[in-house]
Amino acid sequence: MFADGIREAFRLLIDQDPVVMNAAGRTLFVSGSAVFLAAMVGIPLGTFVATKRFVGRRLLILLGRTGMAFPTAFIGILGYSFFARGGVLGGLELIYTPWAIILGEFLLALPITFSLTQGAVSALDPRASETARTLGAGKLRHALTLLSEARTGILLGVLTALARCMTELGVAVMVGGNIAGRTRTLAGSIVLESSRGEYSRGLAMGFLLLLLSLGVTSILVLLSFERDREAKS
Amino acid sequence: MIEITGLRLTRNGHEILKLDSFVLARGQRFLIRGQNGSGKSTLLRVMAGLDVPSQGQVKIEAHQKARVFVHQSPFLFRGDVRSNLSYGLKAHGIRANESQPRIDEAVERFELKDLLRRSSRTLSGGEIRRVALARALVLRPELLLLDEPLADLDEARAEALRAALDALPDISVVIASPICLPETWDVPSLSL
Repeated sequence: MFADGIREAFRLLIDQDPVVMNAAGRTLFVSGSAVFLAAMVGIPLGTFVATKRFVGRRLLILLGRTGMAFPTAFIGILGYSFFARGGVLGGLELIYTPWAIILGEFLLALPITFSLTQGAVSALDPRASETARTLGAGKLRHALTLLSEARTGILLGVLTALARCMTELGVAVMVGGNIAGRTRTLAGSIVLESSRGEYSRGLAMGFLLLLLSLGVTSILVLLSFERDREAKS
Repeated sequence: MIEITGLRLTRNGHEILKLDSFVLARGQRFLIRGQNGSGKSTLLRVMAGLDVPSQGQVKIEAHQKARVFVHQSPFLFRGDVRSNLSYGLKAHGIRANESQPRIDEAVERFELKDLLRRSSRTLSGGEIRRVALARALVLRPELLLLDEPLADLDEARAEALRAALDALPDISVVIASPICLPETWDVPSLSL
């Protein structure tokens, strides 16, 4: 069955099977959009929390760290309770749409982009901030300088979030409904094909997902090497 | 330029800096001497506005943006030497036609021409110090605070720094050092 799966995966990829390509494209779209939004919120928020002292700061950091380990099924059921008819956001009619998956995955990705940014900026040499200040940097330039100095760690956070969103299942199935041609992602496809007894096809989807994850992980590893090199210099 | 009275700075119950009185006139150069842990660097940090004293009065005429502090172990930003030299000039909104001659002069004085395209992460300790000093001097601040500026510098480079400071007589300079400066510097000193 394993060998069949590999053969089927290659066949589907070479033939550019529309169902597989559709699911792969949707996976990249929803995960990419969710991570983009999470980066837009998480990176400035993480930088702010890393550089300022205020009441509740530690609680925010603790919540961020805890959020990184949220089970995807929990986010999924939470999202369902909000977006389902009769839910607080039911009127928006987002349930079983890609937008619902994007919002759910945004909640998955946000703690990662926030926490890893906060960690990367906090770990910077304090002389970076002091040097920027003493050379006359205003608030914006100061923040941008810190982001630039911590960019390897921040990018690592963004890619980690992307890897988590691409491979998650709970949100995609619960708020997306796993509808063919509309909300079905690669992870959802694997579950469906397996439940229908189409193991080879399920394995093929899995290999494709693995390939995408491998791409992201390879970049993560390269960045980790760069960060280690920086830490030693 | 600077008037300090009854300055005290304590951290975790320990007094790390005590200075009853200090006055510095505009354009004056002054050496703060003292052994390791005597509070020299902390005094410079207070003058730079990076540390806040626990007690006492610190009056400095120069605006915060017109004071430049160079760390004992200077920090260079990611990127090449050229981008580090222009960082402060951009932060102060100084236009290229004004900033370029300043950079060219500093590059020549501190012999940085061959380093301009080098990544800051590949420089030696002495090269980092020369870039950091040049980066501070191109700003022509009103108050320049140098923490052990001669460490890592050979005699010729130390002399180049003195010449660079002499060429900017309006700048007030406070230098912290555990040892006396070379005789050619001829600056009054205070021991902590």
